[in-house]
Amino acid sequence: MEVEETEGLGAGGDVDLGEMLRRLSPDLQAILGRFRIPPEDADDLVQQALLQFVRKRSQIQSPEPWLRGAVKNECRMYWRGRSRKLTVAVDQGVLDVMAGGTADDPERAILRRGLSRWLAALPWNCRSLLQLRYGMELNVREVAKRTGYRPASVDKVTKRCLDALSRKMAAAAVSRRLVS
Amino acid sequence: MTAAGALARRFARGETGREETAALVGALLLEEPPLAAATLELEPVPAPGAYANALARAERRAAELREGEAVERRRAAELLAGLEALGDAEARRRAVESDPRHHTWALAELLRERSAAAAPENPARCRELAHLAVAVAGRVPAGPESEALRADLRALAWAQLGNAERIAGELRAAEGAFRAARDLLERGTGDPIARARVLSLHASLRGDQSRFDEAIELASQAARLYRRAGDLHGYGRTLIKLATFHAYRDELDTACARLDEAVPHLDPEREPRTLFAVRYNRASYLERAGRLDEAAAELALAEPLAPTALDRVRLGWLSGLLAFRRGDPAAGERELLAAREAYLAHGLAYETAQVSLDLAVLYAEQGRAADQRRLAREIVPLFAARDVHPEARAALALYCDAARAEGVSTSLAREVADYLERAHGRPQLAFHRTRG
Repeated sequence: MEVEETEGLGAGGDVDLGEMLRRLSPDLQAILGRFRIPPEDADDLVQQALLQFVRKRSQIQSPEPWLRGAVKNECRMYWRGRSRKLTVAVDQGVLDVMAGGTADDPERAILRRGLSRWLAALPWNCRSLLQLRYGMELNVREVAKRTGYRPASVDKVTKRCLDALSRKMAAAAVSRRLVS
Repeated sequence: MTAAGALARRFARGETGREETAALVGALLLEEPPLAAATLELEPVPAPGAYANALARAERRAAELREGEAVERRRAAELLAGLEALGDAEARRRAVESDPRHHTWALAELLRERSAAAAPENPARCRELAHLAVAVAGRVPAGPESEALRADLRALAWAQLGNAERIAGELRAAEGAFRAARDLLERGTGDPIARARVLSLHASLRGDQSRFDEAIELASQAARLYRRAGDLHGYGRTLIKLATFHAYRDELDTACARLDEAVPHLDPEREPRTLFAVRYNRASYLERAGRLDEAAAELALAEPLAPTALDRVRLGWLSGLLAFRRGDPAAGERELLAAREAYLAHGLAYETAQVSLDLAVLYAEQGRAADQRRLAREIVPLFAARDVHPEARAALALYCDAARAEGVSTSLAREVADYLERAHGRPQLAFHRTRG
């Protein structure tokens, strides 16, 4: 015999949430610190985990480990979101920079050499993809056509490569306090 | 922090405007790239106590959130009562789609819970409520909850619909619903309980499709997630499911081992039926493995746990099979006939047919051709029942024809009986004769 899944049997429905938060406060602060969440962003993040608990409480059997896990997940999502925003910005930034000037512009040639150095620091499959994207200003569909890969695969790998490039640029910006 | 430092940090957070980004990227392209860096390491280590205020504010907010949700839940119960008073499914669908009062988080959850509760007894209601849950979940207006949390709500509603379609035998629709659920889950919060639930329900679909390798993989993932999240009862009940997949593949020792692992984790107060399922299934697997004395001992442990009258009928059925196989065909026949009567009285045609075929095996072994013909006459009216799907009807017709021609062998009766067991709730499973 099979036992059909049931709902609403968790213990989370009976818990005193305020009391639980007081008890877990040191743990949650440690998690936020471990993920280096900027204190000004911690409010939103904890409130989301809390909302999640309230919305799902009837499904939660072990409230304390669940809430710790939810805060960790929120921290991961926070970084994923930030990384996504940075990637979009860097991609657009490189496209803007590379689009300026004429083909024989010496400044553009310097920038192109600079871009090659940055790409050389990335895994081999990223180099050719991003060269096509920035060097020839091809979009995902055109890159796919030229490389023979499916557009969905090119899109996925390009995003991963852009993430890597963006992380390197952000690290350089922060560590060298670079500003024009 | 200097202006340059602040700009760099804003850039690292993806918060710079287009021109600022282009200027920074331009400057960076003239620099040597660093070897490696993770975004996370770009933030300074926070000072001790930096999060105390955030936690204190969350604590103050907790009571308010909890109270708001309780009010919404009460309101959802009223809305559901109103929907049920509408009388027909089409009116309920229209009301849910067109009236924004119904577009609440709590109503979506309540519909999903009620759909899950209806699954064992009332597949049509389970399906209708799951459709309504999906309709409501997709219409809940944006609120304080993140997009990811809203994706979890929708993923769970779609997974419930997938399960409801599976139970109704609509496997293609179930497949589509699970595809939607899994896509939404990828955009969700990463909550292991939500993920475990979707994977566990998806595993049931793969089981019904006889894709047992995938079913076992999905159920194993779900079990790991439940355990990691501290939901040990969820872990235990997923092991019961895993055991059924192994049993379908005739891996009866592994199936028993999974059940043994499940026992210490189950919470009988939370769901008494699970402990009965473990004992009953273990007895059934042992019977199939020919370990008859152990099966009888396990059955004795299951008896006091049977939660419903129908479960007691199920016990009588297995007890009859065991008596027959342990050399007491008279007791076996008595118990099988009693089980068949009880199922007939409950209007459960499929189970009636299943017990009938177990009786057919008993009669075939004893060469009782007249009883086979009588049994065949009693089976014919079951063909009209809705829960006896066409493939099962074909298998039963083969038995009835053979009984009329006095040509029922033990192997034919056993083959049809085995098929009926495997095809319970699986109308897509074709009947093929494998012997003689």
